Amino acid sequence: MSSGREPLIERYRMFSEFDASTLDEVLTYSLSDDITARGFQATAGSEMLKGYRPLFDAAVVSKMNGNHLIGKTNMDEFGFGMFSVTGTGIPRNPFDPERSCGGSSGGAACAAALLEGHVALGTSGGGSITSPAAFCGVLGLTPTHGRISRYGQIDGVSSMGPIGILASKSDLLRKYLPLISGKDDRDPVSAAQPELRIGNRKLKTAAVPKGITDNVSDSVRSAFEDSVELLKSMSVSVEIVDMPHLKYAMPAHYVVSVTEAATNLVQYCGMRCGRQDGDLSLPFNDYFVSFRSKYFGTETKLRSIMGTYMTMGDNRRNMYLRSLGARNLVINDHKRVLGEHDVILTPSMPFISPKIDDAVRMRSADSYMTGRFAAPPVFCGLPCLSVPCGYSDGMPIGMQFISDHWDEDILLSAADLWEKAFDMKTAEVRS
Amino acid sequence: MEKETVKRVAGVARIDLPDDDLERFTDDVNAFLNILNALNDVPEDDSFRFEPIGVFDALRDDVPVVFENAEEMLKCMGTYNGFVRGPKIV
Repeated sequence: MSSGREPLIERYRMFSEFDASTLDEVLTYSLSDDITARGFQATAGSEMLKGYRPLFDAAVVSKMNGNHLIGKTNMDEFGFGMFSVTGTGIPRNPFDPERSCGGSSGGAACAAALLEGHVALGTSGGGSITSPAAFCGVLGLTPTHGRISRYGQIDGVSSMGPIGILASKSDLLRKYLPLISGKDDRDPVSAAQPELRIGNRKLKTAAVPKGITDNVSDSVRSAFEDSVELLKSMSVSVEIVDMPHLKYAMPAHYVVSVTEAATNLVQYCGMRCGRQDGDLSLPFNDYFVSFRSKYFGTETKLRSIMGTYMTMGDNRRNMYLRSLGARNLVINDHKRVLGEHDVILTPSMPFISPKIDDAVRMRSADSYMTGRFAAPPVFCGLPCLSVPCGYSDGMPIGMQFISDHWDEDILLSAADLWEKAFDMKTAEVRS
Repeated sequence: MEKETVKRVAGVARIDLPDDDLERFTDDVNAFLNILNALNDVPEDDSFRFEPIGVFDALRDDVPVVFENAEEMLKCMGTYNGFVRGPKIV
C-alpha cells in the first residue's frame, strides 16, 4: 500500500522508523525515539542503542489506546542538542528543508507541522520541545515535571525531561494532555502531582522579564514586541518584571544536566540492550571503553566527560550542589512573579532556524546558550507553551508562555486565545 | 583545563580520546567551564533538592483481600495457629 504521506516522510526525514500501514489512519501519533513502544526500535537517536527493540510500552503508549502510532521521530542523541543534528537522522524543517527543525525533539515538531491532525509526543531535557515548536511553527506544550509518567522513557537527564505534546492546533493539546497525564506507580515523581484541572481560566496578566530581548535577532525582537502588544489589545495586562537570579539558570542547568547525563550514560557499555557486537576476549574495562568510544557521538562524549568532571573531588560541592542551590533561587524568582501574574512571556528562541550546515558546525558551548529562554522553565520543572508569533524570511518565530507548577490550565487557555488572535501559517507541503 | 586532564577525565568516563580529537574536546570543555563562571557568586545554600518539584513517598492504599480458597493455599506453606510461618531469622 502506498500513502500520499510517504514521499513527504521520505523528503523531510522526521521518522527514524515508521509503520506504513498506519499512515492513512485518522487519529495518528508519534513518539520521539527515546520513548519505548513494543514493535519499534528505540535508540534515543544513538548508534549505541541500534537494534534495541523493547518488549514493553511506555506509560503514554498505553494511554494513547485507540490512536494509531505511526512511528518514532528523529532527535538529538539522548536529547543532547538544540538542532536535531547530533542523532542518527537529521529531520528537515517543514518551512525550508535546508534548515534545522530545532531540537532535541525536531522530528516530532516536523511531524506535527506536516501531518494533518497529528499529535507528536516529544521530550524536553532543556527546551527540547519549545525549540523545535518555535522553529517548525507549531504549538509545543511542555507540562510540569511529573505530570506525565516517564515510565518507558530512556533517561538522558533525570530531574528534567518531561514528555510533552507538539501539535498544530490547540484543541489537540486540550484533548491529549488529560489523556496521557496522571499518577503512575511506576514513576514515583508522577505520584506528587495534584489532579489536572481544566477550567478554561481566562488569561488576565502576563510578566515579561526585564531585558529579555537583549541579544536576540531583530526579527525575533520585533515579533515578540508585536505579540505583547497584541496581548494587551486583548485586555491582557503586561508588566515588565525583575528576575535577578535568572542569570544563573543556564550555567546551573548545564551543570545539573551533564552530571545527570553522565550518570545515566554509564549503563551504555555494550551489555543488556543495544549493540553487543564487541570483542568478548577483551578485559572488562577495555570492552566498555571500546563500545563507548566507537558508538557515542561527539556531543554525548563531551557531556559524559563534563558530567564526570562535575562529580570529581571538590567539584561535587563547588559545581553540582551549588547549581542545585541556584535552581532553588531561579524557581523562587519564577514563583514570586507567578504569584502576581498568570504567565511569564519570553521569546522561544533568540533567532530563526539556522541552516543545517551552520547548526552542525556550531560549537557546543554556543549551541547551549541558544536555549537561554527554552531551558530555564524545564530546569525549574515549570510548564511552558511555545506558540508561533511571527515570521521572518518565511521562517516561523516562537513566543513562550511559562506558568506555575501544575497550572497547565492557563497554558491551554493561552493556546486557545492565541490561536484565535494570531494568523498561524502552515507549511505549504502539508498533507 | 589542560589536555592531559581532559584525557584523564575521559578515561574515568570510559571514553578513549585519540590525540586528533583531544584539542577540540579540550576547547569545548574550556568553553563550557567559562559559561560556569557565572555561578561563582551564587550564595552557599544547603537547602537544595534533587527534583525541581516537591516529591513525596506515595504509598498504595492498604486494601484487605479475602481469599476464597485460603485453606487450599495454606496447605502449600508452613503454618502456625492459622498464620503463615515465616523463615527463621535469628
